[in-house]
Amino acid sequence: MNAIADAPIAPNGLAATFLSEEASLAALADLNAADVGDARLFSPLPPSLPPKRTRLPAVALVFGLFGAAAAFGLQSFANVVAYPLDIGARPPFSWPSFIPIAFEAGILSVVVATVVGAGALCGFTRYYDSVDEIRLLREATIDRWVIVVRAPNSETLARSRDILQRCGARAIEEAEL
Amino acid sequence: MTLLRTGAAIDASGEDRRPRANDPIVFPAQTISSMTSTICGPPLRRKWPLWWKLSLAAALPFVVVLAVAVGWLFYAGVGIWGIDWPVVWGFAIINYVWWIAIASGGTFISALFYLAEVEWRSALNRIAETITIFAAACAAIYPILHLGRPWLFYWLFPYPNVMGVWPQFRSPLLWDFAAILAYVISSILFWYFGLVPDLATMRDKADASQKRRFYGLLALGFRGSDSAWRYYTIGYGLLAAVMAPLVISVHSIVGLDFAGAATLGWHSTEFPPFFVFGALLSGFATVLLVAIPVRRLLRLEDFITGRHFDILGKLLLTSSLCVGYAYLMEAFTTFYGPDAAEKRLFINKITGELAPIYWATILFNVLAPQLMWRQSVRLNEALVVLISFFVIIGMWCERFVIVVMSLRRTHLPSAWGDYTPTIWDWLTLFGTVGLFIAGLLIAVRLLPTVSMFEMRETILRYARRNQ
Amino acid sequence: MNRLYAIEATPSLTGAVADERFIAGPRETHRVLLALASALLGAPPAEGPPWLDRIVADLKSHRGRSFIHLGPDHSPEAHALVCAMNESLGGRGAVYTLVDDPSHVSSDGALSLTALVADMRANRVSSLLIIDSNPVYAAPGVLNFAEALARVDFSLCLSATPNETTGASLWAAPMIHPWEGWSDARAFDGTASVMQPQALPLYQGVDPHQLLALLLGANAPKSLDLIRQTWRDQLGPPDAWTDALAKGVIANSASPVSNRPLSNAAARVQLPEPPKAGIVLLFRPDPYLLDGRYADNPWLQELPRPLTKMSWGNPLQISPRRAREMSLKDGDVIRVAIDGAHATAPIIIAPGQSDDCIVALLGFGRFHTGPVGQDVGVDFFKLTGRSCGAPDIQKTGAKEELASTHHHAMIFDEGGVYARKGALSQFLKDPEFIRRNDEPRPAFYEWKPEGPAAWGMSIDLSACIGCGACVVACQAENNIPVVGKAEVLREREMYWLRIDRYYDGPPESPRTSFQPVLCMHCEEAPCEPVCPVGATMHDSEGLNVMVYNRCVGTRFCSNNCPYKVRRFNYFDFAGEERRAIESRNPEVTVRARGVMEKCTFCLQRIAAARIIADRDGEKSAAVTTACEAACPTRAFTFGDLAAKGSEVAARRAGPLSYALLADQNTKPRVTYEARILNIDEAKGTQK
Repeated sequence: MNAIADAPIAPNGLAATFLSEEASLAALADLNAADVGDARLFSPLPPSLPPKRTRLPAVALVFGLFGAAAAFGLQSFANVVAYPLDIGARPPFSWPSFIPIAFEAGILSVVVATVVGAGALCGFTRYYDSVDEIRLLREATIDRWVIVVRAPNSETLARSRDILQRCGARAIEEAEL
Repeated sequence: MTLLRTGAAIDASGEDRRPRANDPIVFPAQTISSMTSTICGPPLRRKWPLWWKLSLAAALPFVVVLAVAVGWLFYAGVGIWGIDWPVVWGFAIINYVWWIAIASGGTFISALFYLAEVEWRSALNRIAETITIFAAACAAIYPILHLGRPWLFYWLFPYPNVMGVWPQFRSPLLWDFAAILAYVISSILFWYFGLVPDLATMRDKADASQKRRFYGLLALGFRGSDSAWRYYTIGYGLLAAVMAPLVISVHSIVGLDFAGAATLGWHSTEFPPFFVFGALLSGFATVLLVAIPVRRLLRLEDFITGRHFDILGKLLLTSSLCVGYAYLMEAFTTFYGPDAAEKRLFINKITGELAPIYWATILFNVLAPQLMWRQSVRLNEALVVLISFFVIIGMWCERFVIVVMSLRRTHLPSAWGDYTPTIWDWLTLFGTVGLFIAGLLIAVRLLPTVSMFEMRETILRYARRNQ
Repeated sequence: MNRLYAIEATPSLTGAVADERFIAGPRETHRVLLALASALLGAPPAEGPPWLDRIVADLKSHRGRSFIHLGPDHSPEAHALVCAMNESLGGRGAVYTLVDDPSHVSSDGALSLTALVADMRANRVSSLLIIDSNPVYAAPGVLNFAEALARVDFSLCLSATPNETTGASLWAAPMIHPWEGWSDARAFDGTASVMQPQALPLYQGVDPHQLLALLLGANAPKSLDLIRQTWRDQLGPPDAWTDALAKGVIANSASPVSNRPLSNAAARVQLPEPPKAGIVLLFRPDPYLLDGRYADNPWLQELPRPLTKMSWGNPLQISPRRAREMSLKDGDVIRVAIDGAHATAPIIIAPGQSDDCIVALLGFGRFHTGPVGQDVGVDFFKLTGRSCGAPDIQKTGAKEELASTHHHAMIFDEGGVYARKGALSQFLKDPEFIRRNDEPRPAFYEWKPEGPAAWGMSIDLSACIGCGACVVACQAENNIPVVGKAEVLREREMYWLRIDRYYDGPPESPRTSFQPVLCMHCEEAPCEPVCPVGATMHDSEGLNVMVYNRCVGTRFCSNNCPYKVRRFNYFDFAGEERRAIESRNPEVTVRARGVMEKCTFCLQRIAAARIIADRDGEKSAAVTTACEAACPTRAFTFGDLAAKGSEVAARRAGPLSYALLADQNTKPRVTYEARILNIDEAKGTQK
């Protein structure tokens, strides 16, 4: 992260910290109602907002089924087609004994798909974002709720500042986003 | 400098912090700010207390011993151990199952109880997951060590090769290989995934730029934005939902390592659930064994309270009863069934030369935890540590009974044998214990011991309830 | 069917195989001989043990078809008496014939070893030539041969390997191997044979015939000429020599049957008095090391003795009751002293031994031999030849570990669950009685190997005498390593084939059964599905094959084998053996460390037979496994079950055929034929 300048040259956003989740959610609602621009909440724990609609579970399931099917298929292929052997006079397609490995492969596929998928959705490895210039943002992972507003013009900027102060923001910082 | 004291721990306000019956799930004096400071404090400290240095100094020689024992094993051959004919499996398999059961227990708390949405979990799940990681590491080396030709262990992996051969998929050992592989990878991913928000907190709390860079790299750029949190929660829930059946399946497959064999005493359908019960018992005991000293040494008395002791004690007791049921069923099915050789083996187990080990198993796994019926025992740190330690020993003895006693007394009396562990067997075992402890100490040094983001939820929920 | 009664002081293979066995120490045997003489020869009445009446009745009712054999450790008077008994039973010409023994030991006392040693001690011997003999070690201890040898000015010992006598002689010369030179031999009936050399001497050894000829004169003829000279008369026409070499024997050289009648004095001979009350120390040659000549042979040192399953040692054998009285357990060390000489050795409890004797095995404790045999066991030769007084026995309180492959006490197989047996009367009443209680095992899924041949084996337990020849033949054929005493103590011996010995009945006088156990090549092998890399599988001809190269050594297969026939190379046993590379069978892989191995039905011989069949245009050729070839009683029958008229298929179909551990449902290709004892009841009574 680069050194944060004392004051932005051309501020186009605000960051405000709140002491409680309720206050921050109220402020967020007000900001969205006033249509001042793009407002995001940064919190130290998952906020009580309605869950996102996402296809991640379905994708993970598909990966899991695919992984299980691939493992089952590999075992069947190896034992029936590729290199059938007489192993204790067991049937070549001894599918009950193929289940444990298929199950584990499926689980592993789900886990990897979930971690990669959720990670991508969460923005993992996005090491730099313009909001990182905001010093107050650091407290978002500790004990403050931080709302960051990107205001398109100075009028919306001023209006956002009013709303935030009205909702009880502890500190407000200008930022260049 | 704080030293472990089994008496009252006095904090700044002078109040006694022994676990008590009416303790809340988290003490109301803690806010999310103070909690963050308390948890982030130890890893961000510059100098570490004497107890940590001494413990690591005590554990590291065991790691060296492990390296020497493993090196000698690879050089001289698996014959340096006490295994022979017909007892071809010995300490390596005993220790492997023992460690993987301890590892599984950690996952039970972090995954299974996440799905149950219990509030006591948040203080313990990081400890549990870290135990899982290092116990699984200790377990995973054994299946390679015990091979006659360990440099060829990769043949168990199905890769296309010029010979056109594949592993033999019907073998319970191969199911085990797949299960352990899936389990280790999933555990590491789950543990890391759960660490990311806390690593972000560490990054933001740290002052020294080197530490900021270190935690910043590991935190993968997590900032706590609302969309990130919501996706994160979905991902975490998915992982927990999948880790729970995974851990049950993994330990069932470990049980199938034995149940899938025709050996006397192993060929029983009760083994998969029996092993899962054993994993539960081992896991709860190990979590208690680690959490109690960590609670004192890292000043976590406000987060791991009497409620946790009470609940974990009850869980230990429950799993002990399950394991006792499994022992009873083992005896019942042996005598209800027609196999005379099985009956002969069982009688040898309870009355033969090694019968003390069987009875130690019963004493440590079933009888000792019955003390937990009393709440005063559940809240007594010293007694809980003692009982947990007994359970750990008892679970090891149980594996010994399963592996060695069944192999000693086979179908044909002319093939009966004996097993005497050698010094290398013992050194390898204690070496892995040292590795485990060293790993935990390093984890405690670098990482937060409590899941902070989940702890915040607990604190806020508790505060809201009691307003 | 023949009925064999065995009366003996210490357990032997004959006693183990006998239909009925009775224990009789030296005093009891004396009583038995007197009682038999009185019953059969009309000697003065003598009371024998109660079980003797039945035997006498049997002998008498089968006149002309019965025979009494007396062991070699008895006096000439006893042998004369027994000869008389056999004559009176009318067996001459029907059951046995007498021939003139061409190489009998001279009865001239002046030619005895005792006289020689006396001469040596009195300085009457100036030159002594010792050929292929080891008297310093193996002569009776009372003679103290070593001390007498020191008084001889010139002594030369001709021996193939350095031994105690070469160490004590003035000169030692290396002797050629018997197969490296010309020699001759006579069979027990006088048939002469000429021994041809198989190779020129590999090292510059000395031919003993050549040596003797050289000492007798300067122009020593070659051994070949000496041999031809010896047999010139018997051979006759000149081409009879080549005939004799081709056939191996010289025609018509057998001794004629002797019709000389037995002297009447034989029936009236006086037996020498038996030893007085107390324990008697008996000496027996070790079953494998004999008089110690094979002490440096690792195969014979490690081969478990048939009854005690001992290897690498010779504990004193004591009966169970005597051990109880003296509070001794297996491995306790005692000190035996007789007539001034003493030895310290551990004991082993021998079920079925007479309470009156302690048995010491000779051939151990060699103090000048190769690295294998040096100082293994205890030398009891120094106690031999002494007066038959009772030995002085003292416990030392020490304990030694016995390298026995049956590690824990006696194994009882009550009711013959494993090594099944039955009485002849049972068999005649119900031929299927052996398998009557076997439950049929339904099959979940049937899959038979397709191959042209279906190899199987049937082991006849009535024929097996437990000698162990099959075990060492398998070891030789398949490059099975010797592991040494320390590893045998850790139960890591590598035998693919083992002979299990079971006891049935009271420990003081049990019935002994032997059962060779090898890989059963189960059609539904439990070892195969549990190998994670597929190193063991079935081939099309029904063999369970072990792929050494693929084995990673998880050892799960050994856990799953109910017969425990698999062996694991815990160390590089084959690499650690000190043997010449040429001594191994080049057709069999030598296994590395960390690999599992087991019987392969001599796959190399099956493969060789396939080549021969191809070459000759036949469908298959006969295969003889190593164990089958070595067995002196033909207890093994190996062959193709699918071939028409195969003997092994006929045996497997017979009523006595059963599978070991049939309830495991492994469908083994190796089956057993139960042992039938010629007794009237299911349990033979032994008193």
